[in-house]
Order: sequence, then C-alpha cells, then structure tokens
Amino acid sequence: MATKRKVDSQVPAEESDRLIIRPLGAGQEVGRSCIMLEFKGKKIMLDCGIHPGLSGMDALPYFDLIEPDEIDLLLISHFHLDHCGALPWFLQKTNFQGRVFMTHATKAIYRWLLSDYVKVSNISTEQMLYTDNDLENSMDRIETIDFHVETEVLGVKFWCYNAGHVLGAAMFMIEIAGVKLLYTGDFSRQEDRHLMAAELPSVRPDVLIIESTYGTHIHEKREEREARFTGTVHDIVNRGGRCLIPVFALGRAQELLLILDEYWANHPELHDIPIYYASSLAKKCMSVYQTYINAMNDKIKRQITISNPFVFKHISNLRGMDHFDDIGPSVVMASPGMMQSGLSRELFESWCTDRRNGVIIAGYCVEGTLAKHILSQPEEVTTMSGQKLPLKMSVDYISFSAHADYQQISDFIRKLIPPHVILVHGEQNEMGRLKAAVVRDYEDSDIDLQVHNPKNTQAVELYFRGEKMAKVMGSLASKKPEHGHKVSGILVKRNFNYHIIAPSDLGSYTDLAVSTVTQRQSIAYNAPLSLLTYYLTQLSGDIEHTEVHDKPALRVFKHVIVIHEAALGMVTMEWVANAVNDMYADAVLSVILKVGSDPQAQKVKPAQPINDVLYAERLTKLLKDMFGEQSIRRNVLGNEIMVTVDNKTARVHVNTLDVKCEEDESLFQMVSSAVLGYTSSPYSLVSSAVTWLHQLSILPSFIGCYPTTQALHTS
Amino acid sequence: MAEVGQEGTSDDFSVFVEVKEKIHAAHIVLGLQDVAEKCKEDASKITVTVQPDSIEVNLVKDKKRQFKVPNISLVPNSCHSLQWIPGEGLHMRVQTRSDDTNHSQPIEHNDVKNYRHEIEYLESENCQLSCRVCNTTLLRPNCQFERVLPLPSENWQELVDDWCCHHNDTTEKMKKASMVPRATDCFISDLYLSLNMAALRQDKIASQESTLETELKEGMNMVIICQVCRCPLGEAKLTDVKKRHQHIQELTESVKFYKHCINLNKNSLPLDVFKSYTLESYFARYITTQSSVNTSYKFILEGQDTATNNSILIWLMNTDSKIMMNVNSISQHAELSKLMGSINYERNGTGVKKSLQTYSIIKLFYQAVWDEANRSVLDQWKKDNTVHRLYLPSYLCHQLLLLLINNTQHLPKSMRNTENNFQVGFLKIK
Repeated sequence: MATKRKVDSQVPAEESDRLIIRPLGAGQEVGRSCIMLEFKGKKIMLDCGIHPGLSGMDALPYFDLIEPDEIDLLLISHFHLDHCGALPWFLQKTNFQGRVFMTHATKAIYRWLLSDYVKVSNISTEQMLYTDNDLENSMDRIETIDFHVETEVLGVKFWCYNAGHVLGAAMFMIEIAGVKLLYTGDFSRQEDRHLMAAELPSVRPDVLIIESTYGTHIHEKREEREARFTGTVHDIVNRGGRCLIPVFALGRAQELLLILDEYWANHPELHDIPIYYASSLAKKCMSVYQTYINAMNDKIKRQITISNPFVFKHISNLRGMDHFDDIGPSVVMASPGMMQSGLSRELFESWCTDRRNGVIIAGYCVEGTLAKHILSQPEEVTTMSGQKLPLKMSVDYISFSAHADYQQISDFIRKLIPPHVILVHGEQNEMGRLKAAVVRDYEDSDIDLQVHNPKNTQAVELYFRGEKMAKVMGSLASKKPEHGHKVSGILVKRNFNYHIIAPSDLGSYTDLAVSTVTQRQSIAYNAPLSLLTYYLTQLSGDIEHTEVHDKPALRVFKHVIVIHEAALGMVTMEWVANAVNDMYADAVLSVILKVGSDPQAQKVKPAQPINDVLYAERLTKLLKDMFGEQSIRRNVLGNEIMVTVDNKTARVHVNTLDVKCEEDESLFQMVSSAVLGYTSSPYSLVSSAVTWLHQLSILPSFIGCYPTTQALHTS
Repeated sequence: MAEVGQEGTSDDFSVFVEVKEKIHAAHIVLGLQDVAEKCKEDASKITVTVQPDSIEVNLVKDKKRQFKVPNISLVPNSCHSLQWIPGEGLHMRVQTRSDDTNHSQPIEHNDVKNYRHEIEYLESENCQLSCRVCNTTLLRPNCQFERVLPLPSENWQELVDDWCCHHNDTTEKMKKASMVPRATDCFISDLYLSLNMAALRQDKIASQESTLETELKEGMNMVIICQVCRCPLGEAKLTDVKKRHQHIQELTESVKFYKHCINLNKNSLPLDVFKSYTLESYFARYITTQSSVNTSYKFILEGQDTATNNSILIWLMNTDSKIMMNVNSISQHAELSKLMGSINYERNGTGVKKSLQTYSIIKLFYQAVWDEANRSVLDQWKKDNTVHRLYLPSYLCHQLLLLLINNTQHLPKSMRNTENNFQVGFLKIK
C-alpha cells in the first residue's frame, strides 16, 4: 500500500500533495474499466465501461462512490463496451458536467457499435440502462482529439499515444501540477498487419496505470506465430485436406486475411487452392478502417496509396453452404469463432472425420464451447443433432492477441521506470502473479518501483511533494535579485503556476484588475450639522468644510466625507475603502450615531462665540499659558489673537474663533484644539482645556476597532 | 389553365438538370432539337440565359420560357462544356451554390432519427395497420403494442464479437438473442415493421404460392401477401417446414411488413406516416443500406425463389444526386406523371414560367442478365470479391428492373448508356 502519512484535513484539496487513484471498475477484474484520479482538487475519470457479465445497474462501475458533478474530465481509451459502455448512461442520467474526450476513430466506431448494442439489449433484456435516444443525445458532448496533440482542461494537460490493440485505441498521458500519469487502456506493443504497435511515450510518467489481462503469460513471437499459422495451413492443403479457420468477425479476421493473402501471393503453387471468407462480416468495419487509415501502421498507409490492402486477390466470398462446391483442398474462414453453431460448425462436422483435414483455432476460447473442447484432443465429438463422430482432423491452436503479454509489459515498464505502477484490468490471480513478477524484477536493483493492484473502490494514495515555484514578473523582476532582498507583491495562482507581480502590473500580466472600493453609508440624522461639526472636530481636529452636490459636507480625517442631507433627515458618509480609512470611518460613524441618538450628547451644545471682552481676554490668557507670554499678541483692531511660535504665526479671530495658519500645520492644530477646547468647556477653564488636549491625543487608539458595519459600495 | 397547357405543349421542350450536390455542379440538358426543327428557321436564333434561380430560353417569335431551379442557385459565369448534341439539344455544366444544406445529407443507414415519429404513432392507442392497396386491416382488433423498438443493423450478429475485448457469456447470449417480436411487440427498422403472428389477423394474410415447386427450406424467405387483394405486404422467414401447405402461422413466428406496402391508421382514419415510402424508395434505401453495410458498390441481384438464373447487375454510382425535370419529359408516361404530381405554372408577361420538379435520387448503372446474354460480365463480377450478391423475391427483381427501365426513359438519350453495355438508371428516394 502507499506510504502511510497522516493527512492534515485542514489542507484544501488543491494544496494537498495527495494523489488518489481509485478503480471504480477493472480493479482485480476484467470489465467495466473506470478509474478515478484525484489530485490538487481536480477529478478525472479514465474510461467508463460496463461489466458485460452483469446486467442493469450491476454492470456499472461503483459510481455511488463519486459525485459526478465534481468530475472535470473523462477520457475514453477505446470503443470496447467494457471501456465505454456506460458512457451514454453517465452523460445522460447523472449530473456530470465535465468534458469527455476520445479519438476520432473511437467516436465513429463507438456510435454504431453502441447503437446495435442498445437495440439488441432493449429487445432481449428488460433491464437496459439507456436508450438509443440517450446514445444519440450523448454524441454531441463527446469531443475528439488527435494523437499527440496536447489539450488543457482546467489546468490539467493531457495528450494521447497510439495504443495498438484496436483501431483508434489510445493511451493517455495526463499532467496535473507537474505530476504525470500514463493510462494505457488496453494496449499491445506488437505491430501486426494492420495496426501499429503501442508507442513508447518520450516522457517518463510518475505513475503508470497499466492493463494486466495476460498476467505473466508470454505470447509466441509474431514471426514464429505467423510462420506456424501459414505452415499449418500449407501442410493441410498439401496433404489434400480442407482447412477450417473459425474466426471472430472483426477481432483478428482482417489480420488472418492479410497474412493468408500475402502467403498465397508468395506461393504460386497454391493458386489453385481457393480461400473462402464465409460471410459479408466485417465489411462495414472495413469501411471505417479505410476511413481511419491514419491510425494504422506505416506499411498499410504506404500500401493504401498503391492499392487497397483490404481488397484481397486470393480470397473470395462465400455466402453459405449452398454455394460451396466442396470438391477438393480449400481454406475456409468461417464464423463463429467458437463453433457453437452456424457455418463454422457445419463445416467442422462434415470435415472432422477425415484425417487429411485440419482446423486452426485462432485466438481466445471460452470454456464450454466446442472450440475449447476439441483442444483437449477428444476421440469423439458430438454433433448438433446429437450424433457422435470420431475426431480425426488435426487441431491446432494459434493465439492472436491484441493485449500486451508479460514480456511487453515488463519491457514497457523497464523503458519508462515509473516510480509507481498500478495494475488494472486483469483477473485477480493473473494480476497477483504479474505484480509478484514485476516486483521480483526490481528486487535487487537500486530502482525504487512500487507496484499496486487495488481492488475495486480501494484507493491507492500517493504523495507528491510539489516544490512550489513562483516566478517574479514585471517591474519586480526589472532588477537582479540580491541576497537578503525581500520581494513584495501579489502572489497570483493560475491553475498550477505561481507568479509574483507588483500590483501595478496586474493589468498587464494577468486578467486581474486593480479596483478601488468606495464605501458609502447613510445614517438617519436629524440634529443640525453644527452639532456634528463640533463633535467631529473634537474627534479628529482636522475638519474641512466642503460641498458635495451643493450640499454642505465635512471632510474628516482628510478621507471621510460626511454629507448632510437635511431634507432627507440623514447624513451620508463616503470614503475610499482601505484599512486605515475604514478605521476612521468607524470612528466617525460611532460619533454620528452618538450625536444623532444620544440625548446627552445633544445637550452639550457648542458655546456660541461670545462677543465680549472677557471672553477674548480669557482666551488670550489661555493661549499665553500654553505658548508663553511673548508669543501672544493682539492685533490693532483687537479682533485677532496672533500666536507666534518659532517665527510662525497662527491667527485666531476672536469673534468667530476661526484659526488661520498657512505656515505650520502642527501649530494650526495645536491652536485650533486649544481654541475649541476652550469654547467647549462650559467654564472655559484653562486647566481643563489642557487636560482635554491630552485625551484627544490618545483617541485614535480607541477607534481602530473592527468589524465595520458599513455597506460596501464599489465604484 | 387549359390555354397555358396548350401553349405549354405546342412547342415545348424537355429540360433535364442533374445536380451533384457534393461537387457543386449541375449538368443541364435543354431538348431544343425539336423546337429548332419546328421553327423551320435557324436554331441559332434561340437564346439561352442562365440566371442564379432559373434558366431562360428565348425562342423565335419572342416566345420566352423560364424554368425555375428550386433550392439551388446557379453560378451563371461558370457555365462551361457547352455542347450541341444532334437529335437532342444543348448540354452544359454550371457550378451551383446550395441554399438548402438539409438536402445534401445522404440518407443515413438505419438511423432511428428518420423514423422516431413513426414509433410514437405505433405506441399510441388505436393504431391499426392496413394493406395499402385494399385497406384491409391487418392487426387484431384492439391490438396495443407494449414495446415499439428499433431493430439493430442487419449484420449486428457478425459484429458482436467486437463489442468487448474478451469473450464472455453475456455477449455470447446476446448473439443468440432472438429478434423475433413477442405478441405485443412491434420492431421497426428503416424499411419494415416486424410483428408477431399473434398480433395479426391471420385470415387476412397469406404466403404467396410459388409457381415453381421449389423446395421449402428453413431460413428461407417467403413472400407474404394480402389475402384480399393478393398484393405483396412483406416477407417472413420459414421456421418450420416439416409439413407442406400448412397454414401460415405454422410456417413462421413473425412477419415483416414493408413500410411501402402498408398504411398506418389511427381511430380508423388513415395517417400519411408511411406515405413517403414507395416501392421505388424501398429499392433506393435497400441498395444504399447494402452498400453501406458491405462497403460494396457492385451487386449481383438474384431472384430468390426461381430456378432460372436470371440476374441484374447493379453498379451504384452515387447516393446524393438530385434531378430536376419539366413536365414535358414525363408527359409521355401518363402514369408516372400522375404519380409525380402536377407542375406549377405561372404566367409571366410574354412567356411561361415553370418550376422544375426536383427528386433526390440514387444513380446507378444496371444490366439485366438473361440466359446467355451478358454472361461474361456476370462471370467476371462473380469472381470479383468486391461484388456483393443480393437475393430478393423474384417479383421484386422484376419490379426493380421495370422501374429502372422506366426511369432510364426520362434521361436524355445521350445519357442512357455506358460504353460497357450498362444502362444508366436512377431510383427516387423521395
């Protein structure tokens, strides 16, 4: 099992280093291929097959373990039902919203193969998962890809390689955040007459998900196998016998036809011996094969430009027994491959008693069929009508498989050396043997290669500690970095790439924009503005009278504007949102609320400027106390008090109590505060005003409290 | 109208346009030979103008004929290969622009989309099938289909082995799955309906008594006819042939009714659901289907139930052509012109404006092989692996040949034969 490690559940999926590979089907079984990948918050499904041995919902992979709407991507390797049979159901009956990809050839064959499958199933069984309509409607959602062309979906990159096996079959290389996975689907590394061998990817995957149908079996070498096949056929016809080759429709039929046609062409002495291909089967397939000639091997591609390699010179069609003149040596390919019934069975029964004749079983045999039975060399066989016949004809078995054998798999792994190998699509025992064999291969080597063979629903968890790299871009990158120098900017994450960018560069390097948020808040307020002015002056000391849209307004703390809308009985605050301004705004807001609602506050009305001598005298005394005797002068008219500190002068108008000081801000502040402090105190006691000044200086530390209650208003 | 008709026939001529949609070309033949002779004047005074939507012919004495070409537009300045063929008239080729993309799609083999609406009708209550000729009802009273399902392609069984990479019991079982409908089933394909005997009024259907005493064999197809009018309705596969001259239900389990032989009625009112299916369209679809299933363009068509070895060689050329004709070329075959409907006339100043009738067709070469004639080609074809053999009931072979011969007559004379003794024919799809 995978390296055990405790996972911090706090880590969000896209930051986690955990890669989960979970077979929902094809885990220690053959059929219903469906493997889930989860990494960095992306979910990918590989294949969506049905189990041909089961029916109805039982035939589906374990879909109950997943949420279809969370899946980003679905990749289909080839057109066999155990790899794509559940696709119409998944697309039409679940809330899956992601994208689906397969090769062009797969899509073309998928359509007519499933169309027949659906119709036959609907007629012959009661439980059918989907209808012809569903299949038709699902077609539009399937996107096609070419071999070797990289596609990107939500940051997941993938491309496919030719897998051999069948026409259009693909192996997918998937790259998520720099981690590469290769899913082989079903593959064959052996080139045959019409399909190319599976390609060897040029990049090394970190994880290899590989089929294991044949476990540790080893196929005969292609050349030997073909030589044995043609040799056997030659022997049979040479001894004057008839050669029967039961074949599957498409499986290896073309392959055998191509081999025989070529052999006959090279052996003119055989030209008098007819080869029959009984039935029109697979011709339709051939038309698809001809259309997708690009997916085939170079030899066929070259040949197709000269003549059609699927038009055979030495092979004729045979419609049925009625049209067959059985007068001498001949070669007949007939279906079905298992000889359960039909033409192959008829021919077998009429030929089996003659020892000159021979039957060649090419391919895979199912238990319980005649084909399997005769391989055990019985003395007698039972005919369809129950009669017993002596079996005298020769019986040969030649395996033509479209799956990789142990040698191919082992060689494939040796060339790629992936740190992790995950076996799927194999019967439990075969898979176990294959795992043991692969592990043994690397036992004494330095290569760390782990082999997993998860059961259905069992997850393999792997960890890829991604070193996070962030590239510095734009103006931040204009200078060469120095040791100890700190870079400060905005970290931008896109898919699995990180960049550090100065805020001003955001617009040029990303599609992000810098925007300012202007906040606006209206508060019911019925008291006069002067009252508020008073309190706010108390608060900030730098009140500015201004007008906004012809309405009186105050600018407090330089950034917060308070507009008085007397007609509506409210005030509106406006400020550009940022951490500091928000703090100011909070303070202003609390003042407004206090003034507007607290009866106590309203009692404290600012003293109206009093035009009396005593008042001016007192103020002068206060200022003298604060700034020193020599700093204070009255002007000639007596209506201004001038405060001069360090050759800077502030003027206080005695009647209005306006303070003017263009030269020095701090002096202005001090004088203003003093004047205000004086006027606010009922008794205008000098000592109290000074104390109050101290209070004012510590006020900002109170008003920084959050959270703000302002309504957001974006400009 | 009569006046127009008269004017139309007095010195009218045939117009024939063959449109090859895929290559955007139209071959136009104007049968001006007779007109030129009648005029007793120099035929060179006749002017022909090609316009995007019509062909205009100015005859002598200011007589003008205008023919509209529906659904395509001609490119006048692309006109080439202008040729006067003695005894016939003017030939030319013009490029086309197709306005109507729907028409250019070739008929898809057994695509359920083509007959989904028929399934809906068949699923509804009170539907009844009847013989198209005599309207004899064929279904048992109150017959209601529980399942109306599309049939798979004809050769599906041969491909089952390729459904999976491994042999397994299910596909094996499926392969043996019977496509025989149960009593409440109606299976449908693009050409026929397949019904269980139990759903039918067995007194209204019969098997055609073969005139020849051919041996009945299991798996052989027999022709099913209407008991009342003796017209063919479809076919049935023999399943039990132990006894000769049995009643039909003992010979077979199910019957296939050709869509072109039956009517669909609802609440005793005839619907025109199957109206577009004709014998000719049946042949056209049948040949197209066989071509796509077998990837074959050459066929040897043989009568299934005759001892003689007459056959028709069929060489399919294309399935996406259209032909346009005016009434003149058809009028000599009264029966056919009736079938093809009337032509729209439109008075237009001094001349007569006509819309050409358009037919989607499949184009083929054919040759009948009777006795020893043409044997050599037949023998050659028999050896050719790309040639596919087809078997149809003899009566259908004869009908196909008649249709083809008849249709050939509509082609301009110079376009009826090929060098290698084949006749050029066509079959209308719709």
